[in-house]
Amino acid sequence: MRYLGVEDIDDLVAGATVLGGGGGGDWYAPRQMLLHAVQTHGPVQLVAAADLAPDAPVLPIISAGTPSALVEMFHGERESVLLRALVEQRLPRPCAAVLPVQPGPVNALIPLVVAAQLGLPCIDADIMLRCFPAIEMTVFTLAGIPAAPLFAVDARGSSVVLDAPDDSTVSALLRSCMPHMGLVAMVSTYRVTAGDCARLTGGSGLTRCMRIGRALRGCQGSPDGLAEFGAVTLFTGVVAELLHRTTGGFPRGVLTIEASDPARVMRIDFQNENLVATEDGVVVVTVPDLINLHDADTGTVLQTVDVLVGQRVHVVAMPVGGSWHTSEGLALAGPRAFGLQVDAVAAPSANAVGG
Amino acid sequence: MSGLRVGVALTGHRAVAVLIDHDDAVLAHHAVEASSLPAGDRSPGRPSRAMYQNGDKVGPDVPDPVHRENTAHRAGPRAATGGLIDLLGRVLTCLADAPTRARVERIVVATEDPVGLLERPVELAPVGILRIAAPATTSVPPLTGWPPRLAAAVRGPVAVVGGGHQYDGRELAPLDLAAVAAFGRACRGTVCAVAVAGAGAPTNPVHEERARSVLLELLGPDVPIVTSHDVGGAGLLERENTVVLGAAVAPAVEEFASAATSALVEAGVDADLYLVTGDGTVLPAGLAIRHPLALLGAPHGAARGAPVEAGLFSEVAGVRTSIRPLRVAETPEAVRPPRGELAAAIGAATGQASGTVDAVFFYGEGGRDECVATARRSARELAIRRGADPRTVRVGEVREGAMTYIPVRCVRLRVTATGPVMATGGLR
Repeated sequence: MRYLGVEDIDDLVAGATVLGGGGGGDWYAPRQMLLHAVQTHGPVQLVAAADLAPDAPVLPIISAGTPSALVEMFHGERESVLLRALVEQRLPRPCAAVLPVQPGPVNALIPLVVAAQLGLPCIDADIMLRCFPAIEMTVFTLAGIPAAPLFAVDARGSSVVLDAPDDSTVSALLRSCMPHMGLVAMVSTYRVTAGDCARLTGGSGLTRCMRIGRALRGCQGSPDGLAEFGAVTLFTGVVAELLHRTTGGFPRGVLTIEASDPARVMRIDFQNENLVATEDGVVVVTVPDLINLHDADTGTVLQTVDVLVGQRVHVVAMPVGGSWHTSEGLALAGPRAFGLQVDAVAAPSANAVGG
Repeated sequence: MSGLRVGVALTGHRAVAVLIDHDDAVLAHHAVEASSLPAGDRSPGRPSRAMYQNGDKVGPDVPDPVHRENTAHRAGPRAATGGLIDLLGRVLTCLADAPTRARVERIVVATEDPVGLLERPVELAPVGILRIAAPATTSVPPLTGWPPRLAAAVRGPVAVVGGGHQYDGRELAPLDLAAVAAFGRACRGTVCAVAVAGAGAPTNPVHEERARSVLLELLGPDVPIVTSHDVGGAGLLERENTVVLGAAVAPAVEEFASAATSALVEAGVDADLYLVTGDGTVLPAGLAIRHPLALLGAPHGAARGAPVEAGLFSEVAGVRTSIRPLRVAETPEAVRPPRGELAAAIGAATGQASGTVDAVFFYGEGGRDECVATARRSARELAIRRGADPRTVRVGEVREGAMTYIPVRCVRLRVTATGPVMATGGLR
């Protein structure tokens, strides 16, 4: 896959919703942004990091918008230009390509929009491998690369440059700026080269995302379509209860799914994304692996914000891949990193669950 | 107060009407089929266009000659409207005798026919499209991704101007009134209606309302203006799509409402006219042009009774809108056609008025309790504006929606107030 065109967009959205793991924001406005960008600027070139000059700087891009604000105030056309100028002020050379950060329903698409707007190619990779909610939960962090300096711009032309000795402070500083930026900002973070990307990012993030989406759409949303990616259906039942509570500023929740023959109960703890799946008191799978709810009647992969009591759902686990299952990876993105006092449990293989 | 009400399920082919009393007992029912004669022969004549001005009935009036240029683009009453009105008039005269008809207090019509125009884009006239949200949102122009034929049919002057509101009520930018005026001038004589969508409008409608004033001044009262805070829903693009589609059929809805009112007078029914919406609730006919797409699904809505909502948006004519889809449960025998039409007519006659608030409330000093109180109060007021009797309107359960990735204290609340329509007064 060398170019991403209009015909690829819906596969990308579908795959990104799977990699969203229950979160990642509303895809509609970003999808419309990408549609218009490709219609205006032509198909976006995807490049392998290894095909760029190793010392060429790249432009990592993530939209930090709160979904309920982003649907009202999604990006204009000058944020990408302003952001690139801010970043390149501190670089010896111009950026050679855009780098996706988070492969979710919003942020698998926004970097492509930016690439189209700036006339740059987009690296066919990302640095999270699935949606995580914090900007430091990336393979770059595992490699010891700091998130700072972090640049953020908003639609009105406000901008910030944030620097701090550790990533959690950078993150906290960004959260404190967001309320004054309308809760929507376009962000660039991590000062890296194409060589860093070639060394640290694994294969074909966006292309793989589109393959997942194509497989899912080819099966009308049935989890069977994802078997080739290691997906396993753990449970099928009806959503019986859905509880939300806000702890420490972050909305969290628990949903309970019941099956009737035989009687089983599954509990999913979530905070934006689905974090832990527990059946009859036993933890079955946790982050960093993917846990998704597929609507059994419509085939839609549900985000936690869309789940309704009474829906019939399949609970589907999929391995995240990469180096997330190392002790450093689990410390950064396992359940305990989200404040849940359980050890990580990897997604079962198809054999373990009886195929 | 007689308590007599009439409900009518109306399509281009059939009208089914019921007469009910104050205890909701069915006193009479009648059905008529479309005649084979051309509808034009029996239509009540060209209705006055100024009968409804932006939702308020102002009575028969002659359009101001200064604004006549704005009606130039519209043909006379469509054959489709004439056919509907013919059926309506006939079913009413057959339903009850003249003395009874004179005592009817309210007539409620369930029809989605005026909105059916969306399936025939070639019959649509261009609408003006005004988005108030710059410098944000400019990465997606209005009509992006629309089915090409539909987009070409509705595309009139399009402008994205400075303005809109952020989550906390602060202006995204000052409203660019000069740009609104330039857009308005471009619309003169070229559009049949105008659609206005502003960022943050459901919570802060002031920019949309100021734009409405400017456009009314420039275009006159005969060009319907559909604003997104009247259609509600989260998502600027979804609301924009909804108001553009709504504006495209607003003239047909307005024409139907005006012609139906004339038909009532001719049939000796001196009653308020209400229309059923897709969720089975009713609203005064004059308010239907504020949210024309609300008529979608009206006959099913009336027949179904209490709807169960499922999901966040519906696709209409291939375009994503902010209309919430309703879960169609198993259809019991009693509501399947032809008895379904009777159920729809009864549902129309007994339909209640409602108002729904669905918004994100950011915590002020009063915290969550104040947000809940504000939401309940707004829902109640909206229901009353739509005809609910203040003495009997009930505010339903406040439901809290999930929100993600949000670093400020806020809560998404959804609440609906519902109640019987007030027996007298209203739009008379």
